[in-house]
Amino acid sequence: MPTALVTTIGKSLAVSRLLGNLAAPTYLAIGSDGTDANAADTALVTEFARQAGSASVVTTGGGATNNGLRVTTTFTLGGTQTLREIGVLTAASNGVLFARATVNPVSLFSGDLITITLTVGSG
Amino acid sequence: MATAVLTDLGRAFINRRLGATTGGPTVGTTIAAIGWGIAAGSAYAGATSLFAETLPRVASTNSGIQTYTDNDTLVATANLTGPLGGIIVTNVGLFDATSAGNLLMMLSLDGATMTVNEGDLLAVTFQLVFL
Repeated sequence: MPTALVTTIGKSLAVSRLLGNLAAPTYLAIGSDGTDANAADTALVTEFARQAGSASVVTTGGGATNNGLRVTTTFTLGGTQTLREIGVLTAASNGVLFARATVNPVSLFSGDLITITLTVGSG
Repeated sequence: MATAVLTDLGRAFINRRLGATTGGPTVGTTIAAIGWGIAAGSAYAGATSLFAETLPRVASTNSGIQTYTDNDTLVATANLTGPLGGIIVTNVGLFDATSAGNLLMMLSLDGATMTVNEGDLLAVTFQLVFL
């Protein structure tokens, strides 16, 4: 289960959400580029699927409680792909990239089901 | 020395505002008010109330500012007025409601006190930086 890097615009989004503005980051996207996550990221590098997820409060450890946001969804693949990156965003298309993570490559084939769970933790 | 904490309820509040609909405690949806307390004690993450809170709370003015990157810091501020006879303050807190609700952030003076005379204003500002 990867833990994601919150982007710079993701931090701004968090503050905006606390002020009651913008949409919540509850869409998961998956892509095929394994370039390391960077705070300056604004999108996945090579996104091939995105859909709404369900989000929950979790405790990720480190001595803090309720310190994680966990978003999960199950994708059905429409073609052959290699999964290398995951992002959580605010919309079904475009939107704000709240966080991004890279993972070890996973080969996927048409019709495969893959459940993605991304956890964004704080200290 | 003072102690400032983001409480467990405050962490839940943030993650609920980020879209979580399950898990953790149910909290409010807005950053609403600042209150003060008069009993001794050190702020801790599991706190759910101030040490001997003295009502009323004051509605907070909230905004986003830049500490390191654009809009990475939440600022909540309020001016609390010393009541009849004054008050000796030991701790202050940020809440998601003007009464009851949940304690999101807390600061304790840890043995020190601050006297606010009747009619005087104590300006309290909480800042939460997303690093």
